[in-house]
Amino acid sequence: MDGHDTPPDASRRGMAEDVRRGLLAGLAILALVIPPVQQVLVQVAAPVSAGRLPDFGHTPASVATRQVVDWVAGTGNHSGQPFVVIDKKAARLYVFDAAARLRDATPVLLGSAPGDDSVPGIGSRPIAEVRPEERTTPAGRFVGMAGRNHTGEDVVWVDHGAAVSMHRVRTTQPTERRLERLASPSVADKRISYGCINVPADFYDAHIRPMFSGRHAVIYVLPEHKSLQQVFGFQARPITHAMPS
Amino acid sequence: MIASRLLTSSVTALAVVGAVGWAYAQTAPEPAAEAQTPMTTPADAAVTPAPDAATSGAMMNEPMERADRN
Repeated sequence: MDGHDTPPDASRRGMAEDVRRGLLAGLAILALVIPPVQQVLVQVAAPVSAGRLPDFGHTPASVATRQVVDWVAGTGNHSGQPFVVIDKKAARLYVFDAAARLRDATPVLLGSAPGDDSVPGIGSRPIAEVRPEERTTPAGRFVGMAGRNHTGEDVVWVDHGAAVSMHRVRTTQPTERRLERLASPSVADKRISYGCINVPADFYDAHIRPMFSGRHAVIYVLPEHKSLQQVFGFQARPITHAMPS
Repeated sequence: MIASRLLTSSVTALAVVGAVGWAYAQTAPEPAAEAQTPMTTPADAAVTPAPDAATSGAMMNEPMERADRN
């Protein structure tokens, strides 16, 4: 070893010092670059906590309806668009604006058969071949869109594949007494269609047609047999905000 | 000598940043994906296979005319 060489111990100490400095520099960089944990949690929770409480005004609605609208408003499941909720058990349809405020509600006519699913292939069968037990209005989250049926009538397709639409109440079969059924207080009277959702004509023109004009909107059809969890994939929370009596 | 020491420190710093950054990327939740979790629908739920509700009018295609279930 000549006089210019560094002794091994000193060299190792020097390297250890360099590594230590490198570690400190790395940690300092990380402290600047990685956001605090709390900030990340707030970002993750934001879409849910930013949701609004739905506003039903003084309109009565079932607990299930309120739970679904709570979930929609809380999660933004409606993609910031107006949306429709159909409570099959009550045979009522609710129209909400993008802020989950109820705009209006109406009785509707629904499929005559109880059930939450459509029979596979039903959409491609002539209506005369649809058996009574197959005349269900399916439950689920549907992206509704304006369109026309085979007669050229403007409708809102709820489940195009299953031929389920929402349209003005049809009175082509007088024996079905559809207008009287709409006016009846009985929920059982509302089950008459082959699966379509019949809406009072003035309500359709005032709310449904404009809502789906030029855009899609989500239609939530509540189940009558299945649970909300099964149909919408969320665990219903107890309703805590005020309900009108 | 100075260059060697600088190199040692830099490599160490880079290794620390790389290792911790990688570990952070693996464990930190993805905000967008997390937020969408409640929107997923179970397999047995009936959902129209249609575009997102926010689709603009210009992008919409009117569905084929067909008979409905009255």
